[in-house]
Amino acid sequence: MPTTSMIFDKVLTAKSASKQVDFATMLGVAARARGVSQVKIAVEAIRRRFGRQKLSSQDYFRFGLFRPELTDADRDAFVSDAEISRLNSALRPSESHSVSGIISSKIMTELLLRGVGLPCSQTVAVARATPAPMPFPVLIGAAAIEEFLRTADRLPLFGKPDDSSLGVGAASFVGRNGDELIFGDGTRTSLSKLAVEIARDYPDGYVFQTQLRPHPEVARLIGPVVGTLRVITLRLKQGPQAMFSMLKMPGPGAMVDGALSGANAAALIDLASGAILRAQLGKAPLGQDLVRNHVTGVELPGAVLPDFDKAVALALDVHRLFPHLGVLGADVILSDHGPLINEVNLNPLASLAQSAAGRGLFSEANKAMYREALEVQGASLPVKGVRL
Amino acid sequence: MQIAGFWQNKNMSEPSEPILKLVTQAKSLDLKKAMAWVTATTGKTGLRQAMEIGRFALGKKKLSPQEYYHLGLWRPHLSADEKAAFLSASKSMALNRRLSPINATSLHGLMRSKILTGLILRAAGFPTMKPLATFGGGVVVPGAAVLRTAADIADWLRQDGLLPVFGKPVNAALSIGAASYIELTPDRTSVVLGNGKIVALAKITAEIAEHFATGYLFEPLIRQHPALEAIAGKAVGGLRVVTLRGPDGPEVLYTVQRLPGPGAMMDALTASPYSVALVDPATGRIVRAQSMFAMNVAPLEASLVTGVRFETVTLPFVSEAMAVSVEAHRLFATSGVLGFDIALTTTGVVINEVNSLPYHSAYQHSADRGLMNAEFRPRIEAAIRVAEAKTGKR
Repeated sequence: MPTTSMIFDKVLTAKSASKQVDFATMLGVAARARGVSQVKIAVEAIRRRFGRQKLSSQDYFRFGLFRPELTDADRDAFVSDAEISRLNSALRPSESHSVSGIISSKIMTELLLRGVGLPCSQTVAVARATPAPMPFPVLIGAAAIEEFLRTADRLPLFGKPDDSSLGVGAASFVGRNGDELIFGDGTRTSLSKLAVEIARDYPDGYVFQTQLRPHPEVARLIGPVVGTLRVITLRLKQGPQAMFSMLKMPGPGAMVDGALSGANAAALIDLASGAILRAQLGKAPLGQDLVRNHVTGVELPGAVLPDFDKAVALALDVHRLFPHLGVLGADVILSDHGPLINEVNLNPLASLAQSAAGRGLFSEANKAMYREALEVQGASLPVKGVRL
Repeated sequence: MQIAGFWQNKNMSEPSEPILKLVTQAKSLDLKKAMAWVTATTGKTGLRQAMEIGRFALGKKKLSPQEYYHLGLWRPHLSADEKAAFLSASKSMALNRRLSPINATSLHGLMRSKILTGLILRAAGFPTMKPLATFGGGVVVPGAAVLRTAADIADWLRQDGLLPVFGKPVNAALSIGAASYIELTPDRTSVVLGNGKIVALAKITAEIAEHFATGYLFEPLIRQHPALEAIAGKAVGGLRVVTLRGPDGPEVLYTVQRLPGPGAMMDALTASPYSVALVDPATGRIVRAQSMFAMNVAPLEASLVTGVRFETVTLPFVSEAMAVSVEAHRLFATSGVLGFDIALTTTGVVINEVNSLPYHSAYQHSADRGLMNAEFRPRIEAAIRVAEAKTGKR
């Protein structure tokens, strides 16, 4: 039953959710799973925290390093987000050559992709504190935002801040009932309150985009809410090459597939065939496969994603636009009109990939690819704080 | 724009010399001769000049001895405030970095890529040149030919009806690697460049492939408005419009027309020194012009290329150029200062390039006035406050 979200200070999600693990509980779970004492688990977690791996105790449990089926090499392969960020940083050009200012802005990214003719999300309006020349309406002030959202036949729309990630501030607006706006998850809010919040909290830009529908086969697999396909590409000697790919799967009742929207899941995709290799529910202990999608109940392993080859080719085309970048994460939407770029990311983190794969990112094969990418980038090894 | 028969009276360039400008041209100055010239002209002794140079070089201004002479700081009639308003190249860059800090959200990398900047500007609806072909660099532009080897470039240039075109590296500044390719010789083995030189296609394309593997871009050759051509000649000179992000948004700081030197293909430092003209933004009239990096800081009265007197010229589309620059600056929200190079064509304005760290020497030479003058200083300081507020630095 839809509810009116009047009790919250902010209508839109303003910060990413905490992913804290309950140590006391997890120590017990880990010790029972491994068949060893809690002290031994604690010692191992501490050793990995203060050793070269520098994996936090949170990550130790979140990635399920205590699992008895893992070898020491398997455990060593897990990478913290801090370590992968250092590696990604080494794969980026110096700040004076940086394109972070484009990529951190969804509008600039879209303008660039439009300019090149690559398919991408379509912005229909942007709310900003100051005017700017855009190939779509610029809404200045709460009144303009409210008027825009009140216009008949405007909805459904997808909205998100120009420069945020992890789903912060993102929402789908599917309908209007008088002075209330209806969100994709069925909740409602006062239109004027939302307009004031957008104008106040996002002066640098809040974009409204056409709401996309997933490809029918993707909808059959994961439900009606768009889940993006993340394709990580590395620039190797022969040019950009896909390294791995995973599909983000929104949880029940979610509006977006970001980290904030409840029980999301991720699936590792076979680069050769586009088939789902395995999937993991974000809240479940790592290593516990998600066999059936938590929204549709459809069996996941072996299911082949439509247009996967085109999606990977699109991600590679985007990477070729930035000859100085060693690594890029492209979020592709497998829509009912074909694959299109939703966002790109300069610092694709390891957690989601490791979660989807159920294993660490630093396999010997992946480390070799990273070393080649660093060589292409002209970066010298060792990279401080990175085990390559 | 074919220049029929132009090649016939020209000599082939020496095979051993690089054809394109591959390195930044040194702004050389014989200090001994400069000092003697100033002594002869003003009576200021060498010792006094040396003391002044020392004060400028070792003090906050960080002005080099070359800048002391090129900016005419030796002139006795300049007041201390007037001299203090001049910025050295290093201080100019430091100022730019305060206005547009290099950080995670800056756009310096975007501006360094002529292709990416052009694509974004065109997608936003601004007038830019559409790329005709790209070599190297990996960026594929829809509708533009993709050239992968020197032979590809030569074959492409050899196409019927293609020339004239303009070529430039994707990631270079100061006109390095830039050239206009005017027409083929009858045997189609050589090309006439904008400076009249005839060069073997095999040699120039090999040079492009060797030195600009990170990207080289071909665009249609711009035909300048006749009013500008009257003082610039055929070579394209850009109108540099520098904009600041002030408290009320982007605003124009100054407009300077750059004029290529005699026989040059572009408006940057080459063997043939170029000149700069301060433009009145209200009327498009030239306020004052001067040669760049010459000892003589007296104003130029007429074009070095055509001899046409500046007082007879009104540049077209100047207000449009300023409006388009201000509007384009609004698009780049993290930049506190931008230098737009605008071509004034027969039909309107075209944004040629955007520079995120514009040198201000063109203004200082053309206006014979330091950038931090009493009129500009408060506006620049206000823009610094805007930039610092944006980055949280106070």
